Amino acid sequence: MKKRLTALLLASMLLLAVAACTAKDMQQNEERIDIDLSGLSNTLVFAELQNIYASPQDYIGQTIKINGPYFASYYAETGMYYHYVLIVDAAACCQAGVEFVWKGEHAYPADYPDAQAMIEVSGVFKSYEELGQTFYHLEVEGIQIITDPL
Amino acid sequence: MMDIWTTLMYSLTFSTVQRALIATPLIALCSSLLGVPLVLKRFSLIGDGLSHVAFGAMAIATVLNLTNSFLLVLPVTILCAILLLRMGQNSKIKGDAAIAMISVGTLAGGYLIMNLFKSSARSSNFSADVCATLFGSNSILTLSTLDVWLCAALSVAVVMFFLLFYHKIFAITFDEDFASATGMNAKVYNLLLAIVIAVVIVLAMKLVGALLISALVIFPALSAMRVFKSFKRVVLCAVIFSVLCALLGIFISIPTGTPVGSTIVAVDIAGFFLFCILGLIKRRRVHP
Repeated sequence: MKKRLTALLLASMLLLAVAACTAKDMQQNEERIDIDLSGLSNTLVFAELQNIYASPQDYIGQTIKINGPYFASYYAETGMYYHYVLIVDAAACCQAGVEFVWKGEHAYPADYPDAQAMIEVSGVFKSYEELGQTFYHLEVEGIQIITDPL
Repeated sequence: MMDIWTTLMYSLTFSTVQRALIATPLIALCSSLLGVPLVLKRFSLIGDGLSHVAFGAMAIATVLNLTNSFLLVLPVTILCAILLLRMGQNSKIKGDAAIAMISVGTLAGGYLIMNLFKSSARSSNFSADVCATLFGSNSILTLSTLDVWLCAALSVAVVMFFLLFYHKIFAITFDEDFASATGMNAKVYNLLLAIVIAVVIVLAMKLVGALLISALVIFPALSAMRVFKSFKRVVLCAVIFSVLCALLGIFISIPTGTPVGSTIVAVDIAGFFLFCILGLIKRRRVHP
């Protein structure tokens, strides 16, 4: 019994050590990224986004990396286009758009990817006020196209 | 395969996953603990009925923008559990009809309320709320630290209840009339059992969703019964089975991206068939 408990304890410690090493390796590759959601499954990304939007103040100023299909929408009241990375949950019944703004002067649609193109962005999570409401977006330096739409 | 392993290891560094990994075995333990008396008492579907009640209460909590929905969902579900028990004993609407009535009534009512008042809810992601509550697609991964503490406290209460009243539960499970005849107040213990079931349902809803809770209650008990025959062994086996299946399910779900609730139930089903085969082998050895 004692031997089995020791073996179980050692196995758990090994698992935690491997997890810590893997996380460290990934963080070393992306030094400036606070939260890297790009390598996670949709289930976890969707859950993480729910957590972020449930308490956005905790994430302000953090650099978040995310990938997914790109889409843009026009809002008549502000006369502007808004750009999003679309995240679909595991059950495929729900989706959430993570808004991003591309720093600098960029024209839509000429400079932006095609709708549904798979993109990856990383940027600082910030809040902004518009029409009397608080919204949140990522301020990104660039957009990396992973694959073009089918 | 390596990618899945790397993703899993990286996912384990997220606090949301760590919280889920604390809550999952606790919920699995509690639901399987009570699953055995429920299955033996032929109350398997009471979990289904109460989970629908909990969904209705959750809808109201969402519309009211309550910070911690547990505070509303728990008392309402307990109240309905007592009501169901009372209706089963005294009223003209008995047993399964009472469960069916409350079950569909609260499910429909909850969905209607969420639809009517979705604009007043803080969360504008209406379909995500419904999806997570009904099917547990990812709700276990959105637990707050307070949720985990609440989950741990309620789990301790459920285990304590089971240990303290083990003999009473055993008596009312197998022969309620005999237990009453020996001077035991069976009604009180049935009432206590109903309250604890309601607590477990509210806890389990976060793990597998309202529509899949019965699986968490039934499969561990039924699987253990394929192999073991004594009450104590069945309970112990059901607990180990449930905890292992729930952990395996969540470990599969996180890196592969499948919905958490249905993955856990799928593992439970696979485990059930495995135990059916083990049971057959065991019987052939005893009676060749």
